[in-house]
Amino acid sequence: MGVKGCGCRTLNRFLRNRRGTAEIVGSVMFLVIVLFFFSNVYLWHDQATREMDNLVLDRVNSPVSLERVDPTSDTLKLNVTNNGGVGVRLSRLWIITSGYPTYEDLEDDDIWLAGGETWEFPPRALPVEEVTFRILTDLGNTASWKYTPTPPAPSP
Amino acid sequence: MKRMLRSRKGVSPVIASVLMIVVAIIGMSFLFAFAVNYATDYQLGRGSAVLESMVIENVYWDGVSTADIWVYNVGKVDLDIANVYVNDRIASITEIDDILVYEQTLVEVPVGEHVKMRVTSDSFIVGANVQLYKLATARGSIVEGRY
Repeated sequence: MGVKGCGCRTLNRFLRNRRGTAEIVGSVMFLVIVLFFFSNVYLWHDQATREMDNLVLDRVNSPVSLERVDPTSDTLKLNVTNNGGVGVRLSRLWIITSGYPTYEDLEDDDIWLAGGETWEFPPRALPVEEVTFRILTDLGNTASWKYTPTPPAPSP
Repeated sequence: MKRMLRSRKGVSPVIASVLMIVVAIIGMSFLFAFAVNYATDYQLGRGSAVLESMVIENVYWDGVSTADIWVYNVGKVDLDIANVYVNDRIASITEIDDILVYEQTLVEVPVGEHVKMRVTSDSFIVGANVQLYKLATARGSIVEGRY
């Protein structure tokens, strides 16, 4: 106001000048429309990434272990324990020998192990050769346990 | 009314405005169609690669040139296995779930399903205990394991 060099007149003149307003409005509208289209893709990707992060988190928090219950028994009793805090469903029990591997499908049995729970397989006969048992969960975690038959004691 | 219709005053600004609106509508329609197609293709195609997850649950190698690979889809989308590599060299898929395959094809693995593939390759290291297997999906995800 009356002070030289305050720039008020220049600012006023600039604000009153309407040259180029249409271009600015058009550009802003174009940017808003483009942003609308591509934010859709970005939000979808963000949601997909979060979904998979949760899956990985669940997998990390549901490690399982497989072990024999009673090593002195004349049968093989296997236990599977969920050592994490997130529940899992058992998918398959692989029986891996020196020959072609086989598996028991556990999905139809719907065996759900909450965090910290243990489930015992029905006892089976002791294998005569070395066997690796591998459990697979529905989240993709695996755990293995190997059975090695003890050689018979030498006869006197 | 007749006079107004016959009068040609101001016709060219009206035509210009109408043409401008038509051009803008056509342009925006193309942009919209492109954006929608792009988003759909991205979500169904390579964008879904983040939703893919599978595990190699077991591998049986016959000791020579053939291996059976069991895979399990633990992801959120169905996946297609495009190529299998044994020791970093491409292998041929000869059977899918015990059904013979005569030409290289995509192996479909639906969500939560197990699929068995038989592959043959001359890049197995005979005598080695462990071989490196890599599975590449059509969307570009790679899963590898040593068995």
